[in-house]
Amino acid sequence: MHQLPSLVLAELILMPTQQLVLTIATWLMIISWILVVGIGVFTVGARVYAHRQQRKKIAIEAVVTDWLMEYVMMAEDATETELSALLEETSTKIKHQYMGNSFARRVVKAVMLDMNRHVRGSVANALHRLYTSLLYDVLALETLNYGEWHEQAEAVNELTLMQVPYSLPYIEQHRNHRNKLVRLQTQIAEMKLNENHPLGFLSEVKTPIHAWHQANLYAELSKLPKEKIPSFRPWLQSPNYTVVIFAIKMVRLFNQLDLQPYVLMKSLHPHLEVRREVWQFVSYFHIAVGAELIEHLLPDAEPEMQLVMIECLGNLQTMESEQLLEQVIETDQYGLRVEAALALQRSGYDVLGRWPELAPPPPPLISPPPAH
Amino acid sequence: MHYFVWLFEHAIFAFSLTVMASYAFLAIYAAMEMIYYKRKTKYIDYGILVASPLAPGVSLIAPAYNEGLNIVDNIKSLLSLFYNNYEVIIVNDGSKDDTLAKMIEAYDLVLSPEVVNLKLQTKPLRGIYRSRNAAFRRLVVVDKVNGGKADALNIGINVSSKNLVACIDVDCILEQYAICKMVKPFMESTKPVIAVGGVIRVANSCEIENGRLISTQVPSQFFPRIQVLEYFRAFLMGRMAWARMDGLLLISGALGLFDKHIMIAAGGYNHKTVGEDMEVVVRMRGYMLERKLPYTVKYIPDPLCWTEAPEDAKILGRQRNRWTRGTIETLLLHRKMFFNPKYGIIGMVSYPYWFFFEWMAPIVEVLGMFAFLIFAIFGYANWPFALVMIGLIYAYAVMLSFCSILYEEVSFRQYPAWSDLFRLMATAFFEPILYHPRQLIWSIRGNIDWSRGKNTWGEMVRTGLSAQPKVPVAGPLPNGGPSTATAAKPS
Repeated sequence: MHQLPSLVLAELILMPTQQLVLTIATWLMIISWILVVGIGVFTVGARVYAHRQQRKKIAIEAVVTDWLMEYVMMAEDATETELSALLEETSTKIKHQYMGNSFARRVVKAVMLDMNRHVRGSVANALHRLYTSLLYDVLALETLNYGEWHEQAEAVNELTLMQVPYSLPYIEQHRNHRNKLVRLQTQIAEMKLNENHPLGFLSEVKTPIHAWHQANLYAELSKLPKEKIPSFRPWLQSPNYTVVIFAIKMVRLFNQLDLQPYVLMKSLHPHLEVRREVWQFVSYFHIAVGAELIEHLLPDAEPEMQLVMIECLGNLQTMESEQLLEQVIETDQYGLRVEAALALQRSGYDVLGRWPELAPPPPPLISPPPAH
Repeated sequence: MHYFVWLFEHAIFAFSLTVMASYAFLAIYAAMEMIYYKRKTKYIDYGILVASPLAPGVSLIAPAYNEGLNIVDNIKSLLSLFYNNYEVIIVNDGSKDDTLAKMIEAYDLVLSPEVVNLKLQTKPLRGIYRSRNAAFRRLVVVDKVNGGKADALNIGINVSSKNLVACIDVDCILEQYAICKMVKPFMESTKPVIAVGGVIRVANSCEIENGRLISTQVPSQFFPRIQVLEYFRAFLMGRMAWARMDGLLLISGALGLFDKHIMIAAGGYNHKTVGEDMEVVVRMRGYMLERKLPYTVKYIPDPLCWTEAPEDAKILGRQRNRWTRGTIETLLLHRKMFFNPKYGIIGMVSYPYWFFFEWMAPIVEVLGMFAFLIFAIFGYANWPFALVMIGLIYAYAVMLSFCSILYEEVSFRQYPAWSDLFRLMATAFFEPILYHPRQLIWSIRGNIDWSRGKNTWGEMVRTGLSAQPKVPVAGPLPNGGPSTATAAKPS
């Protein structure tokens, strides 16, 4: 009799939950199969759609490239009146056939941007005029104000490539944008569109300019004519330490040797990365006075900084730096000794001849010499 | 008995539901990350890094063990990457064949007596070789006593002169911009990046010429084709999602870029485990978290590295056995992280996920099957429930594979032929039936071998990507096994 309640309990609790589990599992299985079919169809559909778009794109590209080629070739030697007529004709053709459809509009723009990479001077100017006459600049500025971050970055990139100078005040507003890509594109735009002060934004920038950013800015800077490269002295004093790092790098890469004393002053900068950059600068230009500075700073520097300084000494290759490295090798700090030996080794010094104890331990078995 | 059956069914259902929910979460999260990545890299010109004086230095470290057949071509491929500031360090890990002699002859190498900072303890060094030919100035060959892959990588790190070290398999085919793409996260992150992982793809049946990938196609053999799907799921779904959460625990041994100083500070590769690629990432993360240092681990979903996947069941079984042992060893070595809030997302999410869904899931699955068999024998089996569960798990597995195919289709579309797409879709239906049971067996064997203290890699046979005759690349070695091959572990 006492088993009865437990059996009732089993019937009351276990059976319904078993049924519930079965129902949930069945529904999940059905949903999974629906998803399998859905995803499968979507995948095939995505490929069909992509192929179709690709075919359309190729067709549009072929026509538009022909028109644009004809336009830029004729524009090269045309007078202002001829150019205006030509512009009107080409722009009407494109507007009539392609501007009503967003996909076609994007393809036409892509063709123009691509062509812009390969042309210079009056031809490029003619292309820029066509770009504005098709109102792409208006669309880009609209996107710049209301688009998502990736669309904003695209718009800035486009306005920069098509050299739309009046867009600069709108672009500048995004100098300290929360998104890195928008910031980068904005700064490149400022550099390209602001002819008088290509690096003026460096004084205003509050966000860090990281290494990738710096490499991009340098790539753009190196395309500028030499006379347009400003002195980097003002930015060596920037409160933004990444700007200081960038400035030191640029002083080095653009050989602004007159700024050497200002750079050396940064060897006492509170930020380690700035100091590291200073020693790279010293290494690069083999600044002899660097050895003296290192002699003073080495004992109290952080371990990481000591290694940088030792590497720098190795690159200096002066009597003084070699002596200093020899002194380090004679100390009992294994890590520093080996780094100093490596630094000397890099400058061609026979380190193992003088300090044979620094050679790596030999293997326990002598292996046969490899056949040459 | 009824209570027990009830409990069993509900436990199995709850576990399956948890696994499925976590996979669904990872799939959604991976999709979000993929969209973000594609938007972020839309205007990237990696070309600016190729010759930039601001590009950071990278040492590519590739251990080689009995690689005489392909070593010369492999090095040629590594030396022709699009990047300026890099060196290639080939570590000859006591090869028994003519690997070293071939390198010396092909690249005009001479012994170079040098000081080496032995920051990481390794097996003894026999010599360092550099080329007399300026065209190969980037090449450094290190000859050492055999010590296994981890040991070879450690000596490569000791010899390297750059701040970033890329640990790769020597037989992998790297995309030409691979270094540029992997270096970028180190250059742009606001938090210090300690490691970057890349995607590994299956190169079987692809057309390869002079160490370069000419065209891609889905492998014609069954097991490599299955692995294509596995790699899609692992690299395009799992790791993308973990990277977004900053909870990535594994960077494949076939391609990973690391901050050398952090790697050394954390102790380098552990040569006592067969899962050294996962272990090193977990240890580096642990090192940073214990010191409360800001850091991050990044992941690149672009197809950067193509590798040869095992073609027959025997070799694949050995590989999966080793991966299972490697996972268990790593999890046990770092058990202090398990649900430890001190380790943040690693301790509270990533580690438990690996514990329950990578280590325990196959065990639970096999135990469940056995229990069901016993219930069936004694007449207690709930057949409708069993059939629905099998149907659900099968449908869900196919759905996940389809999802990964879709991700590939809309992101990189590396297999442009229609036939490849349909073959992959068909494989998704066969995989749970023809492959998954074997995978379970390999995993259980891995657990048994681990409990017996087995610590060898097992012999791996490689066909060669240019269709060479089959060559055994290593035998079971006491020191951790071969230095190369088969390190592209998907999770």
